[in-house]
Amino acid sequence: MNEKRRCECSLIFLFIPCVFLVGCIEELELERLDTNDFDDVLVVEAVLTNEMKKQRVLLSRATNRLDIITDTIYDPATPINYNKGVGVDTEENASVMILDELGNKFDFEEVVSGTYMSLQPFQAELGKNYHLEITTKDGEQYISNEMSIAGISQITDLYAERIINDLGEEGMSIYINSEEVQGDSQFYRYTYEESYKIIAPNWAPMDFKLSNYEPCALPVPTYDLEIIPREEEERVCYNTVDSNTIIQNSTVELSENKVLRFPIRFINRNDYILTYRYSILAKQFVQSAPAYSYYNRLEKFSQTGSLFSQIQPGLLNGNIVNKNDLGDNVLGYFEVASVTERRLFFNYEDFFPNEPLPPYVFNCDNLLSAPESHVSFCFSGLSMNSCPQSVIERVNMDLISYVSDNDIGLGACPGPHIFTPNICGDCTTLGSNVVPEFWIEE
Amino acid sequence: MKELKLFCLKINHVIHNFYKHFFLFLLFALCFNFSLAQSDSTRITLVVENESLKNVIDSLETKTNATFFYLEEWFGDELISIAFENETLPVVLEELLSKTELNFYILDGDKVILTKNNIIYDELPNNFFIKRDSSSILTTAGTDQRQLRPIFYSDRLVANDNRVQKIQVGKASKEVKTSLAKISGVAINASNGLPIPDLVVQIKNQNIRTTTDETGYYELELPYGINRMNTRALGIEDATFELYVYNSGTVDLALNEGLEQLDEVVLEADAFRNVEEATTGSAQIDSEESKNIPLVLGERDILQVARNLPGISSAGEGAAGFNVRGGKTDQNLILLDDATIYNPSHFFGIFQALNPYTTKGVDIYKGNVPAKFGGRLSSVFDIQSKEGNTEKFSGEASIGPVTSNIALEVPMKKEESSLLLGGRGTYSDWILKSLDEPDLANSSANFYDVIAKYDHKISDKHSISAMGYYSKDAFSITSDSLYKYSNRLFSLKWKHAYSEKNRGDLILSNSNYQFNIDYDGEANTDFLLGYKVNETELKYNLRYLYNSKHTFDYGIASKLYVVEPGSIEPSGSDSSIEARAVDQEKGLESAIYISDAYKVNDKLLIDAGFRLSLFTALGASTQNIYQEGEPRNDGSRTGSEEYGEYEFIKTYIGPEARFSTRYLFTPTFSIKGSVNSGYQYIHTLSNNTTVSPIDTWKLSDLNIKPQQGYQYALGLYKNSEDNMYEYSLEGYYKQFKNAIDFKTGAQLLLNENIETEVLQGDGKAYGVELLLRKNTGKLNGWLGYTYSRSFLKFDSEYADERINNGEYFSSNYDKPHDLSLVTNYKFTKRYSVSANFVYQTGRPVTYPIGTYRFNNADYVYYSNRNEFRIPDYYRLDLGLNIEGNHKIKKFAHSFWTISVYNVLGRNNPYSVFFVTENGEVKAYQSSIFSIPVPSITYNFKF
Repeated sequence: MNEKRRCECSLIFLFIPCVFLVGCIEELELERLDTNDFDDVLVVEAVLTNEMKKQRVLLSRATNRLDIITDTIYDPATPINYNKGVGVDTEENASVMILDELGNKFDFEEVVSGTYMSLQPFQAELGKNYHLEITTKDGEQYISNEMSIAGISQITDLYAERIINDLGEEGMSIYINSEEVQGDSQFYRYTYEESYKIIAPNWAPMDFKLSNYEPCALPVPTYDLEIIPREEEERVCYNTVDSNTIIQNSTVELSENKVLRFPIRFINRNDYILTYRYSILAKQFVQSAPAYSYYNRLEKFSQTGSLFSQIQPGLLNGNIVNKNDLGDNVLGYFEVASVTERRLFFNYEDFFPNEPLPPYVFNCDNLLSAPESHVSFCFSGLSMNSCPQSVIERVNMDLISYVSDNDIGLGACPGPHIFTPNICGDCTTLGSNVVPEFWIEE
Repeated sequence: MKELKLFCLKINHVIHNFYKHFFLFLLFALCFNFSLAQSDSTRITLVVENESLKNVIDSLETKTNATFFYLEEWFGDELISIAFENETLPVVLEELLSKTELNFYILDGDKVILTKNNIIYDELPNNFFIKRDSSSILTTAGTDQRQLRPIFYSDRLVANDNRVQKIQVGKASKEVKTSLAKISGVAINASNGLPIPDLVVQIKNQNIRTTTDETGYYELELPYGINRMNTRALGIEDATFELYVYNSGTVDLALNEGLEQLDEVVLEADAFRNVEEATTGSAQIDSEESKNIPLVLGERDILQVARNLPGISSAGEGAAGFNVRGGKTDQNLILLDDATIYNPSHFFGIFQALNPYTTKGVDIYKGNVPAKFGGRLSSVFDIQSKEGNTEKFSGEASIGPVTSNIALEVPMKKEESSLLLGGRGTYSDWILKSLDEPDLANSSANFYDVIAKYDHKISDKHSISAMGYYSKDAFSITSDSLYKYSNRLFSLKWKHAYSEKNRGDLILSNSNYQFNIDYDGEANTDFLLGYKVNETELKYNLRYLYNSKHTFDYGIASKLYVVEPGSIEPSGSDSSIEARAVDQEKGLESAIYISDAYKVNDKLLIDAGFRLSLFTALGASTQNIYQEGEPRNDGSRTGSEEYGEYEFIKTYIGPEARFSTRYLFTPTFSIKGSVNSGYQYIHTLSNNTTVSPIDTWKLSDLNIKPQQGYQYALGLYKNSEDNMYEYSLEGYYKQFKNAIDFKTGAQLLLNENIETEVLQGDGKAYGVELLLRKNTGKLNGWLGYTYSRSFLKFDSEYADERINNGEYFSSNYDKPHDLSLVTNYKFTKRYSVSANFVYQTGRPVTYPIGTYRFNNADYVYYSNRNEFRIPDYYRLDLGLNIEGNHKIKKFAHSFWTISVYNVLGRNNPYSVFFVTENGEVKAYQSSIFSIPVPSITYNFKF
């Protein structure tokens, strides 16, 4: 067990300057859960909405790896996406269907491993009950409770404000207002997709092109390195990210089912995603009481609580069971919810006029240079080379972008080119060069 | 100090006892100032002829301005002729008294006390042995066997020991002593003059002991010089005398009935108590004596000390609540001067909410609970406050790194009534605000507590005391929520003696615990949430000393609970929160009890008690009715029933047994056994692994049954080397029925159908506790080791009402091995060092068995509860205690404590937990005090 110390001052110790007293919360670097009871139970994620579309059901299996998707920290010395997505153990070749209370059956087909889409578009209707049935490839049959839409509520406003939050951070807070339209909407869950424009700060119109690279050739590696115009858009990109937190709200204690100024997202002003133009698509799901409770408990179990008093976690029962074996746990939930969505765009300059832009996600101030080639990998003698990794090695791993020729003798071991880490010169490392369909410039 | 003499004053009989014993104290207290007084050099010239001694003394009083204290009847009829010129008072007196049996003693130069050595004791006033500050509250009928057990025996020197009776035997002479002196005398009951048979009279540190015969007569042979003599007998207050044996002589003893005892006597008797008392599993902690134990942040904390005793633990460092012998934290009855205190801690469990200077000590019953207590299954913590000083204004204060404390004792009417005031607060908020750290800008952590107690001795037979207490905490963990909680207590007690054999205490108490959450977020959902529990109890404890074999304790009690289970209201004008309150709950818990301490013979003591408790859930209320045999949920609810104001909803009857017995193999070696059962009608609702201040208390009702507990205990107790060492080995087995737990993640606050979330199941706990204790000497302290297990079981036909498949699982506080070493070494009177060492098995935590991806994020999933343990806990603390010097004229007596908590810097895990952050699962380990924590505290008395 590796231990990475990250000691933090917790409130209690603030009685006294932290030098004296430190309550410590440290991260345990676990690769796998240290447990003998691991069971690769079925995980179901299904939200049937009132949108007329091909509905989706995700099936996977639990694992005992701690990081299902690996760290999101960018390391300029490691190729992007290297080792990424050890991935979800998807559940393939299952038979999936949703049935309504009238006996109508909506069949699903597997389109990508573990992702099942309905054959036909359909929508959940208010006042109707639906349930989900799954038969896995090993013949186990699973069935959900009957679920229905609790109510319909309309987002009446989605707006952003520049605020200073309770922690003293300045940034943009995005709020939702909504009103009940039909049924009884007391419980809400929010998700969002946020999209933002990225401009690579060290982008240049030309780039390296490496071919015929033989790093093991003797006496020296052989290669062809060309400087050619970029073949595709690599300066301006767009990235779209789905929310990954459980954001819930309830109007149970309110006199009316009206959501006012509910904050769904706060972005620090120094977050690079705000730099140019930012867009958020907020979705409001009206949940049933049991679904709300399920998500709420899932959220509670995944939070710290207070240092002294933590919530007792335990088995979280969803609404899906194995037809023939009630002892077989099933994770996840089949939710039937109404959804409404609304999109908002804004520019950094709208809220922070004439103020410096947020720093780029990576420090791109230093331009680099290095010898173009290196000692052959197959050279068996002693190499006294103390220069940084050569250009051709880095180009080969797709780590760098061309900036210019090195006419100024930059670097400790000046080479013929000046370059920059890919993240600074090629925006496709962070996003897509395709303008999203919904994107509207002012 | 050979002049140090015992004296007894003829005090006007009209003056009541309190006055007397206080005055005696005062004189004793001044004894060690004696040599200073002796240096007075007023010269006297005096010529008398054929005057009575009385007249001579009168004229001496006039000449010297000294006041003489004596009994006229000591003076014979002889007439005296004598002459002095320019002599000092001691010389004059020496000569004057040379032919009498009288000795003298000069105090402060102007008080002369005459003593007649061997008949002094005839005049011992009632309650002579009551120590000056003994709290009248302690004198409840039924507590007589219970004495304060200090943590450390303070090794006081004889010279400034002001509470042990000192007796001079025989008149001093310069003859060489060759053999043993013989003393003899008669012991009588001071209140009725009857002889005391079977009184054990023994000389400490010598193998000399005897017992009185039918007429109360005894004889002893003992060495010349200073001897410490103890007397003990059933129904008679234990006493210790210091005999200054100059010659053979007579020592008659007038002893009090077993009412109250001196501190010092307690220490002696205490050791015996361990062996002799029938009660199993009891312990005492004295607040003052606990001051040498190093604790975190230099805070004196008897509740923390209690956790070092075998069988008492908490979920972790800084966690609130006690787990006593495998019981849940809500199963402890914590009383402050007879009023229930629901939350005796500040800031979770880091600090006790008791002022250490107004607190006298705590009696803890973890085994057999006396019949007069009831309502909680696992233990009773009976905390007593001091009685204020009735003579002189005095106080005590401390300045520590986190809190400051002050206590004042204000005499109201001299020697009759006094007021005790205590206040305590933290400056943490001020520290927080002065830190230049934006993260903390909105943090808050603040607490204080205040106490006032009034004691009034109306007469020998009546006294009253009244106590009021308030404590308050406010803290915020997240910046949008401010949590506040407070305890408010009040108690009024009337003690009276109907006759020599009948005594009673009538007690009225009220306790209120409440918390609020003030939520101030950004949306239209700002609210104020409140919870409150209030109880009012009237109880009448009586004691009847039937004869030397039987003592009956009996009484009646009734308690009304009023719970406001939750209310919410909008906060601020733009909040859309609708005000709502969950229906009030009311309940009446009543009990009658009787117990008999029956001394079958010298070896066998049986204490058999019975308590009948009754609980009635009262309206107004709406109670949900559920389908029989179905899991309780919204679906199985068939309806509800309305009950009118104070209408009986449901009555539970709980017969409870309190039986314990002791058999003495030898006077210092005994075996005890007990069987104990109880009912509990109020329960905490908590979803957390450890106690939280926002846990709510819920009364039993139509759907929630009372918890039941049974405990069987057996132990061996041995003292050796004149009680210097104490050994005990005690085992227990406990069972619970209807213990309460919850469906995980249940919403408990503001839930009107809470019974749908409640699980009731069984529990069992067993353990062996070993305690080795050294009470006296330079090195003292104790070593405790406990092996114990604690399990719970929640079984049902329905999956969501089961935990761990309906099998027994370890409770959150199941820590099999628990070792505590508490030591103090006294170098000199002023310097001592202390060390604590604690080792405990890591507590169980619920550990995930897998991870999965859901809603774009990774989550862990849990299955069985508490199948993983965090690493073991160990900690060493060191402390250095420096007493200021003891000069009596000095304004304040000071005491410094320098301590280092967790000297080894052991990073003891408090918990291991998993969170989902930014879509990824992270495993964390938290610890509370992971580095050595030094502190320095300054205490002073004035």
